[in-house]
Amino acid sequence: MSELIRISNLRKTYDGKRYVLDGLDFSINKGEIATILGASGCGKSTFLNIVGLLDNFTDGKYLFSETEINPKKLNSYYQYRATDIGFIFQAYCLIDSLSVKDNILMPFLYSGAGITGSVKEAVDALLDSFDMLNLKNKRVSLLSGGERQRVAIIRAIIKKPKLIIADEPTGNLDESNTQLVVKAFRNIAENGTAVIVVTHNKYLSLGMGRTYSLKGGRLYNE
Amino acid sequence: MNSVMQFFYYLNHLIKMATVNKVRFVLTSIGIFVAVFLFSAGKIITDSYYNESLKKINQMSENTLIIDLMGNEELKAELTASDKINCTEVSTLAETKSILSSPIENDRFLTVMAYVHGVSDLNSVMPLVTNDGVFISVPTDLIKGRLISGSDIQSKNPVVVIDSFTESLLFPAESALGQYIEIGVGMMGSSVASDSESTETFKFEVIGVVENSYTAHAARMKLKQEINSSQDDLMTYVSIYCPLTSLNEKFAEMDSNERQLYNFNNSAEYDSFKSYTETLAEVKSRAGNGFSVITKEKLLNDLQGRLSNTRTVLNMISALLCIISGISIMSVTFFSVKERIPEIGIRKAFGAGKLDIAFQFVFEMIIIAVFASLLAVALSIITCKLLEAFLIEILYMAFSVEINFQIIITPLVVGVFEAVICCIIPSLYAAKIKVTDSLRFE
Repeated sequence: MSELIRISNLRKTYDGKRYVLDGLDFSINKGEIATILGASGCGKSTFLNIVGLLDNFTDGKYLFSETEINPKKLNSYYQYRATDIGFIFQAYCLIDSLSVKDNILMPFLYSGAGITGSVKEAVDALLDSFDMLNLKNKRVSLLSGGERQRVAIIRAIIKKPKLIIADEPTGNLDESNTQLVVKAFRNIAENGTAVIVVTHNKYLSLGMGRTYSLKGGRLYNE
Repeated sequence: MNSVMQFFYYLNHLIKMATVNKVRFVLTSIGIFVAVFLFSAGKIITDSYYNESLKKINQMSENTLIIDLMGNEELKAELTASDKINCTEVSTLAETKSILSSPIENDRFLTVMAYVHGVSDLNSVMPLVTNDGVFISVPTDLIKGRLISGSDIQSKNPVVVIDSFTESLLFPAESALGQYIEIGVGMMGSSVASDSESTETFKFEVIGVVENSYTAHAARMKLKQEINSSQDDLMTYVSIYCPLTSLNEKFAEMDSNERQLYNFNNSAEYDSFKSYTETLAEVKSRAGNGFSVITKEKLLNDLQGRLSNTRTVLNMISALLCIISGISIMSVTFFSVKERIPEIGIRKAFGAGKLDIAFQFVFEMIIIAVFASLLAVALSIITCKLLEAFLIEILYMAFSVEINFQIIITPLVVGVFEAVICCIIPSLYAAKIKVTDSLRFE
């Protein structure tokens, strides 16, 4: 498996005094799943934001798909987010005023890939696999939590990115929906997409690839 | 094909986002609507009011010069003798003559006075608008019969062309063609014995009827108003056209306003003659018997001068309205940006760059502006048409609203431009919002 991400000696501070991440090393290959556990406030979301090119870092080296990331030019990496990275947020982060279909297709407005007939078929196929085809034109604001999370997952995977970043994807879900999400991640990984999952749920990490815990600003193998 | 689908999908997406917040949509639309409506209505009224005159003046050839002779035979002889190459001379002469005085109802009498225009060529155009209100010849569309011909002029035939208003007054129950108009009829109750010319009347055969000119339309409206009022005796003015040669033959001494029109084929010769007449006018003016030289440029400048004053006032009012509504648009857009910070974060997380965010807000504003501006233009056209009907039917004022492409496009462009300018700052602010901050925004 080829390496997708390599992070060496990553450091991040917000105020110049306290380092949230302090000498963190991490790597993940294509098709691999990595679960990150940690207490609240330990820096999990900060780590994910850096990996997802949403936030800069103070020091260290970050290689994404063999490209070294310059933290001072983060705005120029929006194309990676458009094509290579998919996000699944804890709070779903869907646009309430749009329908399920429009939320899923939204990334295609910026990826440069057109919304072709095959894309629409892929949307239908994914909605069907998540048992949501009948909700395609429904406004997202009218969905339940589980349904919203499924929409968020489909939105992240529809463009077949190289990396999926999931921040507490099952935090608001019941057992059956949680299992659905885990199954979805495994399927995604089998197709060559790397998945990084941050969670409180220790049991979620079981059988989901490598597990790390984030303590003192560093990652440790579990 | 895919690009077309992508474009329409994006457009549909923008329309959804532009209209999702009803309050923002309505408030922004109202701001743009008011400014565009008033600008558009003002423009329609101003342009329509002056357009008729501008059209007539623009029909005039660039190389045409008109001289008001004011009965100055010496001047006429001088001008006739001067060097003119490739020039068509047309003389017109206008004299007021009574042509009908008859009872109408309840012991009231109607007197029809005619501006009798003698022309040597009815195809030459002389513009309608002058500052001193001197009447002139204006050929319009022929309804029936024929116009005055070269042979009528050569043979001094006693024929006339009238407009449809005159026909309705003089021949209400029948067609005017082949009928006769008696020119020089004395007014009821007036003494005409001292004026030898007034005792002699001449019959002219009606050979053609033309469409009403602007003045005929206004006269018709005024007469209608007077008939409906309790005014005792009524008088109205009409225009009739006859060969200059026959008029000169029949009425030897005319206290008239004679005009000479010179139409050159060549601009160099026109410039030379123009320079000569302007110099001559200046010389004669110092001697106390000046005359006026009227060119198309002068007429256009006079009209444009009056029009520009009106337009300046209109534009200032519109600019003020645009500023006020623009401030409102900017405030509403800022409010919208604040409300949509989480959405901005989501879009950026999924690959939207700064320009994508900025353009989205700008394009949404363009959609709202196009909608509001089109509505404003449509309503302003309807309002002006209603005003036209009111002025004609109730106030008996002749006013014709003209709608053209420019009247629709200019206010639309102004509305869209104003909206875009006012939303740039909020859009740039939205573009600069940090992703991590926006995703945490509650």
